[in-house]
This record gives sequence, structure tokens and C-alpha cells, in this order.
Amino acid sequence: CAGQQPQPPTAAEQSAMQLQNWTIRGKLGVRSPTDNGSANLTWEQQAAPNYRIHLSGPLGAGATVISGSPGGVSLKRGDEPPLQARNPAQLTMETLGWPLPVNEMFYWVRGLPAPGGASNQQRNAQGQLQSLRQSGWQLNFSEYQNRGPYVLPTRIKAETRAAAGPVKVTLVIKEWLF
Amino acid sequence: DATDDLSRLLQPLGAISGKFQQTLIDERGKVLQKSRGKFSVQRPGKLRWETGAPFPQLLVTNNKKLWLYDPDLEQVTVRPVDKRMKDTPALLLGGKVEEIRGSFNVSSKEGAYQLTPKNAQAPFKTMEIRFSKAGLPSAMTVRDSMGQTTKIKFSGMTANPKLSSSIFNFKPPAGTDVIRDE
Repeated sequence: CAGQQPQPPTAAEQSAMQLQNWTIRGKLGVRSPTDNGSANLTWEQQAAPNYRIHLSGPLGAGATVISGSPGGVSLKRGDEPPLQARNPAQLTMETLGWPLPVNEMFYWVRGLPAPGGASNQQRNAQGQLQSLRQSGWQLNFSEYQNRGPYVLPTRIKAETRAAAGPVKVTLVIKEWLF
Repeated sequence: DATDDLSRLLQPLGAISGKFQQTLIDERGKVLQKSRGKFSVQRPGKLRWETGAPFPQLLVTNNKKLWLYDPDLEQVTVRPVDKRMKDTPALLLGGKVEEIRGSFNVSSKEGAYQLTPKNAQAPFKTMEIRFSKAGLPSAMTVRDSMGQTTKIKFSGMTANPKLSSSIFNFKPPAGTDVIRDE
């Protein structure tokens, strides 16, 4: 069907591909068999793979920092020593009980498919990515907004089936800073 | 001693309502987020902490259940209030004054009270609370074990306002994803 052959990227997508550094402030909601909750999120992205994702609850409680570097990813929480791994989704699955696929989110957060197999791409009337299946995740993008020279999604829902059951992650972006 | 002084200040405050400005600063000293909102607290253990746009979020507890509602995510988690919750900073204002000595080591310097939880699992490492001349809390600074600092400035404070218990309960709007975390 039409969704199969990848159409050429739209002008908006081409410009989003140039966007490599940002600070995002918003909310992250998680629903999973082992952990449920919502957190304030601050994502500082320098040139990939350098990033820092800070999650915290009301009054700054329960802060968690996930930081990526060329060497891999580390997760720091409370006074526990930082935990290291190669892959953020695997590290967050082991420590938080649900995977956060940060490597792919680097693309998804800009309304772009990540490199590698992406299927069932559906686009809206403006040619913006509306849904996608990739790396075992079903993604839904909505509420695209103009931010500076870019048109970016501000609500992303992602679902996957982890061993223990379904995991739903919702990212709501309130501020994009470049 | 400092605990008695702090208890004397908190004792007459059976309830407080006011506004807050909150600044979240990470261990590098970088401001992560600024937010503002309003709150009401009532002894024992009742709290409503409502953060406004752009990061709206509502924390409500009636001392039995605790709701954390996020309108952006259309999600509310409901948890029974457990011991760990007793150590959250804002609940200090609504906590039983006699429990302060049991839960915290208190020292004071130039009118500011420093509290260090005796329970190692408490969600914060130190908390400082300052009072206005009128004897109402004016600021609270919370530091956690990751070096993160939450600075809260209070304003428009009312001591012992008449509060209906309904504000310490929460009914999720239609369509909200209710997550029970027993």
C-alpha cells in the first residue's frame, strides 16, 4: 500500500534533519507492568551521541539522569552509583523496568523515522509523519507546531511489548530551545 | 534547641495556603525548570500542590491516598500514602509537629532552619526553611543526594485558612488514564 515505498522527505523533514542540538522541556508519562508515573523531562542534546535527559517528579523528587556519550550511556538515580551500558533502551529496561529507546528518539522527536527498518509510515495531509512501526515500537505523532525554522511534533505516543507486558510511553513537549 | 524553636513556629500553623515559585537546579548549577503555582496544606498530612502552565501538574493527598495528576499526559497515578511520603518536604508543613524530632536533625542559623532526615531513604538530603516576620514560611530549599536543588519561594501566605476537605481529594476528569499503584 501507499505507506510502503518511502516517499522523498518533505521540505519540513529536510530542515528537521539539520536539527542536531536542542534542549527540550516537557513531560514523560510511562505505563508499564513494573512502573507507572509521570515526570518532568529536560533533554539537552549536543551532537549525537552526547545528551543528558533529566527526569524528576513534583518538588524535584525522585530525580533520574540518563546521559549519553561516545562511550555509551549511564543512568544516575538518588545516591546509587551510576550504572553504565552500551544501549539506553537496555539500560533503562534493567534499571527502570521499561525501555527508553533514546537512540531512536533522537530521530522520532523530530518527526523523523530513525535509520534502519521503519514500516507502516502513515502521513497526514501536510505530509507530516503521523504513525510508524520501528525497532518493535508503534509510534504516533501529533500536534505538530512551528518552532523557529522547524515544524516539530509536540505529542508522541510510543507502545511496545516488553517481556512483562505492554509498555506505553508518552512524551509531551512544551518547550523546544535550539 | 532548634527543634523546639521550629516546632514553636509550626505549632500554631494548623493549615497554610499560599503561592509558590519553584526553581529546579541541577548539580552543575544549571536551571532546569522554573514553575509557579498555588498550594494548601493542612495538618495532619493533607496537601494540595498545584503547579501551573507551562508544566501543569497536581499533587493531592488526604493523608490516606496520594494522587499525581498530569493534564498534559491525561494521566493520574493513585498511591496509598506510605511512610516514605511522610519525608517529602512540603508535607513537613502539614506534618505533626511532635514528629519533627523523630524524623529530622534540626539546626538553625540566622533564622533559617536546616533539616536533615534521620531516615537514610528520605527523598532529600537537606532542607532549609525560612520564616517571614509574621511567622509564616517564606522560602524552602531542598537538596537531594544527586546534588539537585529545588528552590521554593512562597508568597500570598494565609495562616489557618478555612479549607474544605474536598480540595484534598481528587476526581479525575473524564478520559483520564487512572493508574492505581498499590
